[in-house]
Amino acid sequence: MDMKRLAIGTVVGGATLFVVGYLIFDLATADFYVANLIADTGAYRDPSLQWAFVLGDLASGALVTLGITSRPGTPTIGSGLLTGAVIGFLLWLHADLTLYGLTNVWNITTPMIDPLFEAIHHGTAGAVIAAVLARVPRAATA
Amino acid sequence: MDIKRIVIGTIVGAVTMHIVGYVVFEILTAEFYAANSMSGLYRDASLQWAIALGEFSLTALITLGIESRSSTPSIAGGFITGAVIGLLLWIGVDFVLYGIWNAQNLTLTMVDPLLGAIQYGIVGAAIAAVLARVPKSAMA
Repeated sequence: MDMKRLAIGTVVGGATLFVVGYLIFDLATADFYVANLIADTGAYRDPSLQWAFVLGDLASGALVTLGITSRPGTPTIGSGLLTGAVIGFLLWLHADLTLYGLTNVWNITTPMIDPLFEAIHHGTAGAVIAAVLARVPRAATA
Repeated sequence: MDIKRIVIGTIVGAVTMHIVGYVVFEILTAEFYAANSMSGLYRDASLQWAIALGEFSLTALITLGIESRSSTPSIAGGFITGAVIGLLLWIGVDFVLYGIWNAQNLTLTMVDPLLGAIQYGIVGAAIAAVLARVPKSAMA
């Protein structure tokens, strides 16, 4: 495993996830998530903790980078977008359905729609990671 | 991509994940989760259909991860692949959720990904053990 490429992809992916996540979830779709809460759980923070988002986005960036670098050949923007979208969709479909099954926070609309937003979110990150990694030479020992 | 192997791995993984998840989270660590979560948040009876559907989704991802490796799957390789996916996945999900809501404290947020790594590692090992015995199709 080429640790330099993994580190670069993780940082680039984490930064992209943070920025695109803000655009999608804090600006474009915030009303949707509020509308599909089950009222009065008092579960949501105000304000949210940005440091926790950064840490979570770095982990997701590492996962998408591992997915991209595990494929043969030089990464392309199209393959990176597809890999990121598949990982984001499957990951959050699992997490959303598990949380829906365990908690009273969301109605059923959220676990059906949120994975689609996450596919866009992680697909964008995958495309950016692939665009950057295509320009980073592989280590001789990788 | 060999669809038959993906389907077999996904089903084997989901069954394993459901059993291991029940043992780890509903028997061994239920009190830990209750002690570190907001009261009134959890359903009295969890929705097993939703959890099972989510497990199929994730085990498809683990199977894709195992199948993306060039060599024949091994139990150790499957365990590592599953554990890495589980650890990164739940660090990503748990910390994003911790940033959004009050439902879980920081202790649970840090411990849950480690338990997830164990659970998904076992799932990855089971998927790899089965897929090592399934011949690859000539088209794959």
